[in-house]
Parts: sequence; C-alpha cells; structure tokens
Amino acid sequence: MSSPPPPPPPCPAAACDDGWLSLSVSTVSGERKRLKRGGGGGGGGVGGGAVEDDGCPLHDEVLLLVFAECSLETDDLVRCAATCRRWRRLVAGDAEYICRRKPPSRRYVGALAVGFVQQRRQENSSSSSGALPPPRFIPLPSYSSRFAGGGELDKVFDSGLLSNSRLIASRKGLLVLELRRSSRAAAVRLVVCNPMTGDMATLPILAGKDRPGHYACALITFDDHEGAPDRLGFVHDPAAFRLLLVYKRRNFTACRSYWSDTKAWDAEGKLSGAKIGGRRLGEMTGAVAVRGSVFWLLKNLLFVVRLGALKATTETFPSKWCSKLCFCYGSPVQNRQLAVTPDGRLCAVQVDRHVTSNNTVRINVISRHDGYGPPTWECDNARDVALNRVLPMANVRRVCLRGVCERSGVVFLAIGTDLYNQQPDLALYALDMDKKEARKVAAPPGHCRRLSSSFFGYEMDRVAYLASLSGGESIAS
Amino acid sequence: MAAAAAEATTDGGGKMIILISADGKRFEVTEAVASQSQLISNMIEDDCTENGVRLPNVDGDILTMVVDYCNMHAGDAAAAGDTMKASSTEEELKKFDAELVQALENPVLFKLILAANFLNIKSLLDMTCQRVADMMSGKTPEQMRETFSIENDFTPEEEAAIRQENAWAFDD
Repeated sequence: MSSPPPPPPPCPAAACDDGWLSLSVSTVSGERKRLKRGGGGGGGGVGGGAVEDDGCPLHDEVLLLVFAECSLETDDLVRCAATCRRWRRLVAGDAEYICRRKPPSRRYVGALAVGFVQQRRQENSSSSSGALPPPRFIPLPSYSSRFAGGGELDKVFDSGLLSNSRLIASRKGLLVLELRRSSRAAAVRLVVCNPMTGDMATLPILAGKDRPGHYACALITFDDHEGAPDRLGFVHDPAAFRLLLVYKRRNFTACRSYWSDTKAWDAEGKLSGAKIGGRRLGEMTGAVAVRGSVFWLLKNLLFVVRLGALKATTETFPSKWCSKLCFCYGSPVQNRQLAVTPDGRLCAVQVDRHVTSNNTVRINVISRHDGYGPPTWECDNARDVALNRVLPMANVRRVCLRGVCERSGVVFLAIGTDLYNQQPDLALYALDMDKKEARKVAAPPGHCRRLSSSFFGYEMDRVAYLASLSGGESIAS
Repeated sequence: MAAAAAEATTDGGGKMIILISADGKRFEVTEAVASQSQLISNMIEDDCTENGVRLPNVDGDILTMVVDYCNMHAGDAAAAGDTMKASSTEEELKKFDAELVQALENPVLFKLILAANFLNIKSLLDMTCQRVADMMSGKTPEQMRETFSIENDFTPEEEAAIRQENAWAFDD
C-alpha cells in the first residue's frame, strides 16, 4: 500500500472548546494558532505538498511511510522534527498516521506527563449531593511555560456540560467524567474526553433498567491489546477506546462496554467467576488494562476481569510486599497504585513500608509475573528510589502516593509533617522514575484522595505529544 | 517491435510486457513479474500495455534493479506448491534482498524507494522504507541533515526552542 489511507476521524466528537494543544505556543513566535490533529497530509501524489524545498529527494508520502516504521521511537521522531520545517510539519501534522501501527514504547517517555487534575469537595459541604467544584488542572513546571496562561487549561472543564462533573479516571491521554448524579438511583451520564485535542465523547445515558448502581469502570484503549490473545474486539484505530463498567444485578455481576467506533453500549453481559459486593465495586478506581485483562486494586484485593472470557477472579496482593500505610482517612490504607511497566507487565507502584536504618523511605515497583501456576510478584529493585536522596525529608512523617503516570514514569507524591493529615500537605512532588529526580509542583495544599478529593495524574498520548511539536505553526492542511 | 514482443509468449511465463525507462531503455518482462507492481497490474487489467509501459519517473539503472528484484520475487508464487523449493528460495531471497539494499549509496537508495512507491511494489517499498528508517534511528538532527542532504530552514531561535522544550530527546 503506497498511499496512506485517510486518517480516521477523531473520536466521536461533540466538540467542546479547543483542546490544550491549541493553547500550546512556541516560545519564539508567541503566536497561537489552531492545531488540527491528524491533518491528513501525505495523501497527495508524487511530490505533493512539497512547498518547502529542503533538498531532501524523498517527498512527503514516502517520508511518512518511513516515519511510520516500527524502528523509529518517539525520540527519533522528535529529532526528525528538529531537522527542518517540512519534516516537523509531517511529524506533527500526521502524528496519528505515523503512530497507527507503531507498538507502544518500551521505555518511559517522561515528556508525555503533562500534570494532574484535582477535584476537591468544598470544605463545609455537608451533603454529598452538593454541587462539585469543577476539576482543576495543574501543569508540571516543564509544561506550564508551554501553555499560555494556566487558567485557560481549565476551560475544558468549564464548558456547560462538565461544570458539575466528577472525574473518575485518567488513562492514556483520556479523562473519564461522570456528570452530576444526585443519587445512586439516578441515570448515569459519562463523558470521555481528550483534553489535549478537545475531542469529547458523550456516552449514551444509562437510565431505567440500564442504570447501574455502584459501578467500577475501566478505560481500555487500542494499544492495550499488546500481548493480549486477540485485539480485545477493537477495529484497527489507534484512537479507539472502550469503557467497561462492572456492577451488580440482583443475582449476578454484570458488565457492559461503550465502544468508541459504534458510539454505543453493547448488551449487558454476565460476569462469571469470583463475586464481589456492589459497594466495593463502587470504591474501586485506578483500573489498569494489560494483556487482555483489567485489574483493580482495593486494599489487598486484586480484582481481575478477563475480557475475552468475561470471567472475574480475585487474588490477594502478597503481604510480603506491604506498603507503608497511609493514615490520612482515619483508617489506614495501602499507599500504592496499579500501573503497567514499559515492558508490558502489571505492577504496583508503592511507598515501601520498610524504613531502613538511615531512616530512608523508598518508592518501589512490584511487578506481576505470569507463568505456569499462580502468578508471582517480584520487586524490581533497579527501580527503587530512595526518597531522602531526591526530597527534603526532614520532619516528614507521611508520604502519600497520589498518582502514577505509567507511560511517562512520573509519580506524584505528597509529603506532610503529621501522620494523620490534620494539616495540609507540606508539598507535592513529581518523581521521575527513570531519572530518579523529583521536582516540586506548585499546587494548592491537598489532602488524600477518596471522600474529600480526587487526584489523577495526566499524561498525553504519543500522538498528542508529536502534534505538540508543531511549534505553534498551523499544520492544518 | 514492441507490439510483437507484447504478443510473444515464453514457455511458462505468460505474456511479455515492455517497460520503458525515463532514458528510453527497454526491459522485457513477463506479466507475472511485472504485475508485482500494482500500477502495472492495474494497467494490464485495463489492457493498456500493448505499446510498452513508459515510466517517465524511473531511470534505466534504477529500473534494472527493480526488474531484477521482481524477477527474483516472481518465483514466490510459482514455487508456492513445492514447499522444499519454497523454503530454500526464501533464504536465497532474503540474502538477495539484504544485499540489494545494504550495498546502495544513499542517492540510489532514495531513487529506488521513489520508484517502488511510484510503481507501487509493496514488498520493495517496505524493505527500502525500513532501510531508510534504520538510517534515521539514533541520529542527531545534524547527522540526519547530512545524510538526507537537508537544508536547515529553522531560525536559530526556533531550533533552540525545539531542543529546549524537548531536551530529553537530545541528550546523549
């Protein structure tokens, strides 16, 4: 196939305002122009669109085929974009085409981490049905200079639709929000959006007999099929996603998925295997999909749904790898979150319980190994980070793991001087697991997640990152 | 003469086709060989190959390589029935392919990739694209500009901005 097929249309779009990409400015020109994702260049014939004569004999169409080769990693493509204007236009403008058959990167790409989204319930709001303040986005220091005016980033959440919504997941560049639900009996309205592009999918309302009670949700994207026995039902579209809900019916555990390609919910299915209570389903967040299964972690319980067979199993997270507990809610909870390692394994990133002789707290990564027999968990010692080397740990009595960005290897940690979080955090840090460096993030004083607030790290997908290389130059074709 | 050649048949290869390069060189190949090019395959279907196929974008020396490649690979389909033979030719083919692209000077490789794209020969295009991608992999922008004879049309400020904003991709 020599001519690239036309890029797929963006996710089902009930377009909101422009995404964050349109706010990114070149530090040189300072001009702001609308960026268009998946520009669709390269469809031209021989020599098509070669306005810039850079001397390279390869025309756009052939160069795009070369850029799409699997041997070129994200850093190679960034350097390609830095060689000349034409190459930058191609890498940024046709990122979606270039990435459509590329396997996920096998190492952390720190540049994907953009920041985090935080949502806090008003301090004295007594009833849970009270209006929620909209989520607030806080960029990392490395990104704040690239986006014009931090406040504008929150416009994504301020559009009428999302102004009263609850953020429930952030994964692979997408955010899942639940629009205001006055009670458990009310209809469920969900939105999946890519804040970088501004694409927004409003999912069909689940009301009446379709309404789930408490539910757990998992966002599954096209590249999660890596290592899975099949394509998880996806058509070949790198922008495709599926949102899985698991909830209780009277006599069974039910599940159903929204598919971005059909823009509809599929029929309700019955989940066989392990049983779990509805209330616990409602408490489960931070789902991770890998090798054809979805995983949730609730305290020491690992709840696993195999997507092909629609079978649920549970495992106990080995107590040997206990984390340093977080006491912020009164009752102690595990200070860990699930993620996927760059080489495609399920892992838990956690604050280690073992305080060594020199009073060091470590972050460690425990990864799960499948083989014959039951899966085993092993500590990846090379990934250990001793916090006293990267953070000012004097007087610190608590370290709370707030968020994990698995593609970029960025972990958000809050530190505080009191064990029970009576006082707000001392500071929030973004820890780069690859470089083992921590940077302080300017953030309003926070608390731990769950009841009082929610916190999700946000990293963009590779396509959005490459598109952001355009340097503010319009790449719409 | 072209018409006569086009009508001629050989023992197993079917009808013959004449390909004419940009500099007027003529190549006589079987339809089976030529139709590895999607472009020519379509022309055969449309019955417009009688007077030879003019390829104004492809020089004679490049077309020689393309024809060699197609001749080698035309065996693929024919030998498919004979598994023993197929496996031995597969190895030979791999060796042939590797030697073909490894030995090429850049300007020739670029011409070959453009010809493969124009003629729409998927396997040759894949192979040459892979080779060019390998040449880009791990290179700095300066090295890439040299390899691909690209003129740097960024202002110094623009270039500095890209490097600074994406420093991770530039430290060695």
